[in-house]
Amino acid sequence: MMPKETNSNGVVPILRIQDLIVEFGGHTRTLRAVDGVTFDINRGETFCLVGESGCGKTVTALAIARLLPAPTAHFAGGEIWLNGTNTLKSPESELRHIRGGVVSYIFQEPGNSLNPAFTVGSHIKDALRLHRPASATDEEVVRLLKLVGISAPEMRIRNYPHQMSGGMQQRVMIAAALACEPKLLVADEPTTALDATIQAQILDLLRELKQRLGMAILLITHNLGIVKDMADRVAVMYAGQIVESAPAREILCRPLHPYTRALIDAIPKFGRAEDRLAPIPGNVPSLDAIPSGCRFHPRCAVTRSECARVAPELKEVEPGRWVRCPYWQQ
Amino acid sequence: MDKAQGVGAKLLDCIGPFLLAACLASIAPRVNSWKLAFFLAMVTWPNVSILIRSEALAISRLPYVEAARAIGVKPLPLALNHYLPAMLDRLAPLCFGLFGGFIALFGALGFIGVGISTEQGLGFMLFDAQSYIRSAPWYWISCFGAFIVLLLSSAGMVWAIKQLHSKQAENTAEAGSL
Repeated sequence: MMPKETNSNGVVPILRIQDLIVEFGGHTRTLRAVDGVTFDINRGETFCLVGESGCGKTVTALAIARLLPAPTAHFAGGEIWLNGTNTLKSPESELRHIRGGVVSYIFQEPGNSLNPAFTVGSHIKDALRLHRPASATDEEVVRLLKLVGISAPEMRIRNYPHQMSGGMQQRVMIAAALACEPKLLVADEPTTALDATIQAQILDLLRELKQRLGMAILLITHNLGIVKDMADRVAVMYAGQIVESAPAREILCRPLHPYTRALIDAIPKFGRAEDRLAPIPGNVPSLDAIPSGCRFHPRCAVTRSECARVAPELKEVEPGRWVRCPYWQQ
Repeated sequence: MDKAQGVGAKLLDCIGPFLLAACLASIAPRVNSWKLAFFLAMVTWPNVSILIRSEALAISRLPYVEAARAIGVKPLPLALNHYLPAMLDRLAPLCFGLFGGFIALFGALGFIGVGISTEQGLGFMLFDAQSYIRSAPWYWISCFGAFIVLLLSSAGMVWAIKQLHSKQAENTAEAGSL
């Protein structure tokens, strides 16, 4: 029998999430935010989690390093193997080494993710002090700031976050995340709060750093343009479940699940004859009113009567392609 | 636990924490300043703890606190570097208010002869101060004046430091551009 941290090919991926279930709530009422999520991320790979707001992308990402607020959030099932360690069973002391050392995070709002009371240099030095104490020097901070493309880093290390633009703040966040040389970088919508030109710069930077440092990236986004630019593989989430998972090129050129198709159709395109977009009707269901059967059936264009009764399984329909819909061929 | 804490704090609020402390002080044998301080702490901590807990919970969801946890910052540095500065602006007024309340209560108890009623008591000093204030008003006017001078000199000092800092930043920027 293969160890649990290895995938079906016998390879140890940097991250392996197996049947993860995350619930929120107390004794009287629980809401399942993530339900049976399974995916692997290989070393040096960029994996994208895509989906509408509230579908469980961020909860899945925070669960990796057990950063969800306890006891409000609890793990009702599943396993998370990060670099060969089951983080759901690790003690808090081990988790502190994993956080920053093995997995680092970049959050959506760089301005809010930096403590306004500390200088940029002390943010990065804090991260270094925790995981590479011998390197916690001004020279190393300057090197990291140079690495992420900040000009005049010798001067900038004494700046406070409010003295920098949004793009520069995000570069500082990336520098702090890379300070401990993590094996996996989780970027939770890293460009959402930035304008279009800065978005492109940050994505270029992430791509360049990934190639230079050889780390894996878990990129969370609802922007399929970013997926096209960055991803090697993609998983599409809907109402706490993965509905389709495949290599990025295949999912964008030939989506199989009706939800993925609808998402791609909803993207505005230049030069398209139709003057109106094709939005997905309805809204993402709230966690306390998840539809029976297939969770997407009330909004699905090809729904059938069985869809409301039978909850579909995530099945491998082609090598490397997983779809949660029995009618994917139609 | 939360409910019990809430009910306890509400009950104390109904009775009045200072009144309760005064009652305890009046029946306790050989009351001194430390014992009275202990009674006051006993009756005021539920409200303070509720406030601190709610603040800590709110701060724990701040993005920069989450970011700090995400790089593996230990609980003590997390509390000192991230929670405390964010909490101080809300807790400082409460602490000052409570401290003022405690002094007033010490004084009031001494004044009515409950609890501490030595000649060094605040009540006695307050009683004594009445005659000074009437006969020599410049005592309290000079205190007020000293406070204003202190305030102005602090503001001036902050302004000077700011000027110095901006001048230094300009010099560094010039050196960088050269």
